Amino acid sequence: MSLGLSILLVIFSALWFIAIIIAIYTGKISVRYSIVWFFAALMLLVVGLFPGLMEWVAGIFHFELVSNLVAGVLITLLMIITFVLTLFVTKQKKQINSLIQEVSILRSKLEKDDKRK
Amino acid sequence: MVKSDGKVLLIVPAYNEQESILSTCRLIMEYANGYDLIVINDGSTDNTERILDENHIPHIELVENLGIGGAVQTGYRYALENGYDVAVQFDGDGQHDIESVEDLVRPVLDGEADMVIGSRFIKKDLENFRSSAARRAGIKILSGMIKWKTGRRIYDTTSGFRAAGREVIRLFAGEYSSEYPEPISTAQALLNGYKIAEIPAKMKSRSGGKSSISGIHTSIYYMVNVFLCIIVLRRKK
Repeated sequence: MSLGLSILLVIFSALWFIAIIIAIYTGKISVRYSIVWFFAALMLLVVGLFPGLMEWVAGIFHFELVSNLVAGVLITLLMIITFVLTLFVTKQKKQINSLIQEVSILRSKLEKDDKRK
Repeated sequence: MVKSDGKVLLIVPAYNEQESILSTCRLIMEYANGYDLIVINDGSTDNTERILDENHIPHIELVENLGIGGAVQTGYRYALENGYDVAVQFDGDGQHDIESVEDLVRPVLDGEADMVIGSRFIKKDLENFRSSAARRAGIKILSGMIKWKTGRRIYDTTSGFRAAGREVIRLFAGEYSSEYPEPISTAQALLNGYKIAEIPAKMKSRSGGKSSISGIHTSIYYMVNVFLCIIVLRRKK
């Protein structure tokens, strides 16, 4: 792995850490959901700081270029995160559905009671 | 005129049905006045709400559009909360025949079935309902899937004209597919051991609105979606 890529990864992951921390402080992301992003940033940092580690792993799995391994790991990570997000979306859609139904039923009941008075 | 020895609710889901909703509701109130009626207005953008208000038709205004499954499920929740013995799903577009409602409700009240489907395919002479060959083929494939999954044969798998008893109301109030719910909920009820009967029912061409499933893309999406939903269904216990 080239020195340029290493430096780029370190800088990028540092910026990423800062972005996540700012997002937590300003309440834009909850700690619970930030953990996976911290983990991702940490992985980038490790890759950037210890290029030898990646070369060793790339050798084991017969990647011709270390940068291919880095890209592959990142894509896998993104796929996992996207999948987990879809799980959250599905759960929230169910909850929102249920809320809309309950609010609508209650509202119609209130309006009916108001008319009776 | 219909007489009833149990509490029966007619659930009428409506989305932009300004042309047909009033006539459908008048028909229900005239013919089935022993039954209660609740229209679920699924965030219509036309005059449906105004028509319901002005004519004092009991209705629930969904604060956001939920789609057919979410709208009908609201009706089942309402039925559960208000202790109804039977809930009948009755389309707002005038497709379903009000004279068949009593035939649907009777077996549930008599304890012969937990759910009754008004079917277009039981008697040959009732097949006056005009639908395309592709649509019929789709319904047959769904029927095969449900048979494979549950061991029971249901002929009219996409009929939205159904009566549900207390237990099935409870099941549907808790879990009801938001998209294309008919075949999925039928399989769900069968899988949970509920007895489903099919009786012949006439259906007319819709008097307003249009089918949600038309065109090759939506048809393929529909079949894949329903197929996956039925495969992954599990018994609720």
